[in-house]
Amino acid sequence: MLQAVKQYLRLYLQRLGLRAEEGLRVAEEAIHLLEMTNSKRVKAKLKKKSKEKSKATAPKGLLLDLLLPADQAEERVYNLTLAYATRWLPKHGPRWAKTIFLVQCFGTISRFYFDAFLVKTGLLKTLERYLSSPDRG
Amino acid sequence: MLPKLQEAVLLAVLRRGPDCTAGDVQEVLTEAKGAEQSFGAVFTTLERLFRKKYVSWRRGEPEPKQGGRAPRLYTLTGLGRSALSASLQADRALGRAAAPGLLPDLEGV
Repeated sequence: MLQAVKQYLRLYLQRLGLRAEEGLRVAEEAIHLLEMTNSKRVKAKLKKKSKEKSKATAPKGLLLDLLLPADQAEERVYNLTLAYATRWLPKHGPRWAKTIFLVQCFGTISRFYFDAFLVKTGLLKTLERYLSSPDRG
Repeated sequence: MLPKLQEAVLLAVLRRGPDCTAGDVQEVLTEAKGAEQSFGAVFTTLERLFRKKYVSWRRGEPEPKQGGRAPRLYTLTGLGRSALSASLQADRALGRAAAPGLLPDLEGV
C-alpha cells in the first residue's frame, strides 16, 4: 500500500517538475505525516515549537533582578548569563542549559538569604569557627 | 585554618590572578572538582571573604550593550594571601602528623 502511494507521489511530483530524489523525500515526509496519529502530530508540532522558542530566547535573570538587591543582582546576572552563553549552551544545548541556569538562579537566591540570616543571627561566626576547627566531626 | 570552601575560593582567585570574576572562580572550581559547582556558594563565599578583607573588588567595565551589566573584579589581598598560606601550612602539618606515609608529596614542603 505504502509502496503504491510512494510510486503515485513520485510520478505526481515528477509530473510537477520536481527532481526524482527530491520528490521521493517529499513523498516520504508526506507518508510519515499520514502514518502519524493526530495526537502524535500535535505533540511533534509542540516539541518543534518549544525547541525553536528555547533557541530564540536566552535567559535574562529576571528572577534575580526581582528578588535580590540591585547591586547583588547585577553581579550575579552578569556571571550567570556569561556562563550560560559561553559554557552551558555550547556544552549542553539550549534546553538543558536553561535548566542549569534556573537551578543556579534558585541556588543563588536561597544562598543569599540564608547567608543574610546567618549574619543577622550571629550564627555565621559559630559556623565558621566549627568549620575551620581541625578536629570537627 | 580557613573553612575548606573559603580556602578553595582563595586558591581559585590566586590561580586566576588579579581582577577575576566570580564566574572565573566557579569555572576553576568546576574544572578542579569535575562537576558543576554552585554559583550561590561562590558568591556568598566571596562576600564573606570580602567582609574579612581577604579579597578586594572593583567594578569592571559594563557590557557593551544597552543595559549592560558590570561585573565585580576580585583580587586577593595581602591579608588573604597570608591567611591562605597559614591555612595551607596548618593543613600540611596536620597531614604530616596524622598520616606521614599517606601523602609523600607533602614531605619536605
